[in-house]
Amino acid sequence: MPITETDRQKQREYFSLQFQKRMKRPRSYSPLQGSQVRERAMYKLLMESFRDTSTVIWKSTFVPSEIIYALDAIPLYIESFSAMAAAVDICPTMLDASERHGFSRDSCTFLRGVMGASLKDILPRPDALVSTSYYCDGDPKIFDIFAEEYKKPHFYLQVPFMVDEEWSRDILAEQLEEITLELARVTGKPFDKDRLSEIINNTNEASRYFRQAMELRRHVPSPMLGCEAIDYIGAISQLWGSKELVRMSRLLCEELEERIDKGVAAVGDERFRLLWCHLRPYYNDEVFNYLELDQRAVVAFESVNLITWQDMDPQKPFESLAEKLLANPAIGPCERMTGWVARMVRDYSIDGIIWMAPWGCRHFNSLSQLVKDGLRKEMDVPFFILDLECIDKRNYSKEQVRTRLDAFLEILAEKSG
Amino acid sequence: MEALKDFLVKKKQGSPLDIERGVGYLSVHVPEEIIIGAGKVPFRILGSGKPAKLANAYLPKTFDPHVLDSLEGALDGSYKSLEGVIVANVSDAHRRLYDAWRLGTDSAKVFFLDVPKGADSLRVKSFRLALSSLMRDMERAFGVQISKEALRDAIRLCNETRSLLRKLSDMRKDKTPPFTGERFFEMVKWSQTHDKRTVNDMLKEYLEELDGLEGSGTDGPRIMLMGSLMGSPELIYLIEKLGARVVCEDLCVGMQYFSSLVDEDSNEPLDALANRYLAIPTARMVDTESRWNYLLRMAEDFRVDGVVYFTLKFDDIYLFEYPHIRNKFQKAGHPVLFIEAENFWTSLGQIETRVQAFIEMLA
Ligand code: SF4
Ligand code: SF4
Repeated sequence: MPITETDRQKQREYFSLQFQKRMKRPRSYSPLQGSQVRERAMYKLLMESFRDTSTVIWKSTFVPSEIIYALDAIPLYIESFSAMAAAVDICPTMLDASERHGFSRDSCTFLRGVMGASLKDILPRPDALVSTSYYCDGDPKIFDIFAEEYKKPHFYLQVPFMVDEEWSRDILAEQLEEITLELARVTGKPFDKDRLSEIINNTNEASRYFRQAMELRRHVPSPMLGCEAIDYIGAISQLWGSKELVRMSRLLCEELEERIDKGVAAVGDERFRLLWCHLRPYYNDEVFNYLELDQRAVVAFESVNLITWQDMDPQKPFESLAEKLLANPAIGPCERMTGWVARMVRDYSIDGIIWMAPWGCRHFNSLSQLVKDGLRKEMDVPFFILDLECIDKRNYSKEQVRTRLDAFLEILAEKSG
Repeated sequence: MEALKDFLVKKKQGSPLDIERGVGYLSVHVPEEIIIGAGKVPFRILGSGKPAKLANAYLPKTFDPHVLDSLEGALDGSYKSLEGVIVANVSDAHRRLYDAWRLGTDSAKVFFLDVPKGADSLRVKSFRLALSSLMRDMERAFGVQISKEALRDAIRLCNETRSLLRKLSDMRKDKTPPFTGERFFEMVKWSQTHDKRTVNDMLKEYLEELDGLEGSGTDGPRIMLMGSLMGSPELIYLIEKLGARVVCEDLCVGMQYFSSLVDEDSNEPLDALANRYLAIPTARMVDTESRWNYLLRMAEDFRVDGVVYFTLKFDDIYLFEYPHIRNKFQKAGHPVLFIEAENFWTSLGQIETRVQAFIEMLA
């Protein structure tokens, strides 16, 4: 049955209502101002992307939103839609729809969630789509299928895996430029290099604040809960280049500084400091609450919030963006990721690592054992691979997860004597 | 022909890998010409056929079974007679296979090749650069020079293999093809694991033998088989045992292998290779539309009655593609049977009834 504009209006309203409820939900912590700004910015962007007059470009995680902002279009980080949908509890129906359509339950739930949402036609419609070759195989594939369904062009960015090859950066920069010009052509939005330089400056400013926040979070006891901090990644992937990101990252720093000055700790009497790798369950906060609030095992840092690149040169936007992309630890031989994890363990005085392994995420799960073994050669830090879904709550069992976390916490307790 | 028969017999008895100067590769997107240009023999690694035990110490269980069982072979020494191996960035699984192979074995020569998922000019340029990096690494490791001339010779040699296989494959357009789908699979597999000169001689000899021969065998439903990599023809055997015939396949041990020729006259053989190897319309490439056109043409050219879509568990590329392609086939009037299996050698028993029902429906 074709969906009418009235249906879409209803969907929008429904979504909006759910989102507002979510923002007002009781929390186990009082959110930082930066976090509130972040949530509002994400919400605003989503609502704007529903407007018929908006130019919306669907992008996957690592497509630099800067090139989209430069065209005055909205970058819609489409996997994050699944996360938001999980948070407002409409994800199960999306996943059901994708499974009825024939998608395997063994594949990534983020992607399947979006597929389901598209089948139900509750997504803001794209004017163009851009995907990257990493992290994962499913991503460009479903983007291409979407492109056919929405009858819009799909551009795909090939990110070389061999980051140290001299040609990698240049070929990536060339592609970025080509895609930007193509996007300008198909959306009818003029491309202005000076505007892109301005946007690059915004990213530089925001990443300086985020780097500073990374420094501040080394503080023991931790000034911020991991449960709250991990939510920054959605905004980070989507809002690079925007003024909002500068604002929220500045606020984050100011508040962290203030908390440290005043001696405010996220968790009283911190028992353990954890490093959390991969994303989080979006359907509830139970796992984090249990660890951080009940067990006082604070998630001191999260791998997804790592800033690994240097300031960009606004005069060379495409080359700089290429370098930023290539600085991702998940690209290249696994030793690169191991190196970064080791560094985070040292920087954040980590007692144990939780490596979250959602069933369908091949890209991340494939690194778990390799990184674990690599680390063992360098340091003695307990490493726990936690099978847990990010957005699919259908098989989630609070008790089971707790039992497994308890076993890990016991190891940490024994180790610390 | 004797050698081919010999090989088929030996293979059934599970003979050890007896190749000399072999360099292994796993993906159909790796140009064999570069291996030949380096004076080596390309050997397609299609899995050791062993359940993953050692491999699970490196890579998770929820992983492309083909990659796991190839890694198992690497770790248990099955491939130790190979002088090196090229792992290509064709999927998430293969990328980490590169790490696991390097870290888990003492074979020093594990090469990596980035393969874009698109075939437009910038992606071709990027692939050419990746190919030159691969050549540089191989030249260093083997102490050889891969000259343009050597590449050109290799291109001619491999093109001949492709043309011969295509001739054979085209015979399957006949009402009663002169060989089974299973036999054809073995031929393609054999062509990917032996010295090309021997391969070409054998294939020519076989073509002569077939000349003028009447087709034989069943004229049951004509099946197109597609999907994940298959290292052995068990599924084809099963389909044919049940009265149908596999007449064409979108498999890398199948028609993808000889889908097009490399331009022999190009001044830059590397460009020609980059162009051709990105033009193979595998499921991993992003251009779903041209892939669909290729599949539909194949189904029509070979006048198929039904399509069997096979995926290995955890093989995301196909798991994501399947519903889309199924819908298109159904719209075009071709029934589709979907089969998902843990691997291609042990779990076929359970699917026999489904295959049988499908064939009965088509007949
Ligand atoms: S969770 Fe993993 S598989 Fe899913 S979109 Fe992200 S990287 Fe890809
Ligand atoms: S296509 Fe799938 S089965 Fe084939 S090699 Fe790639 S990941 Fe493995």
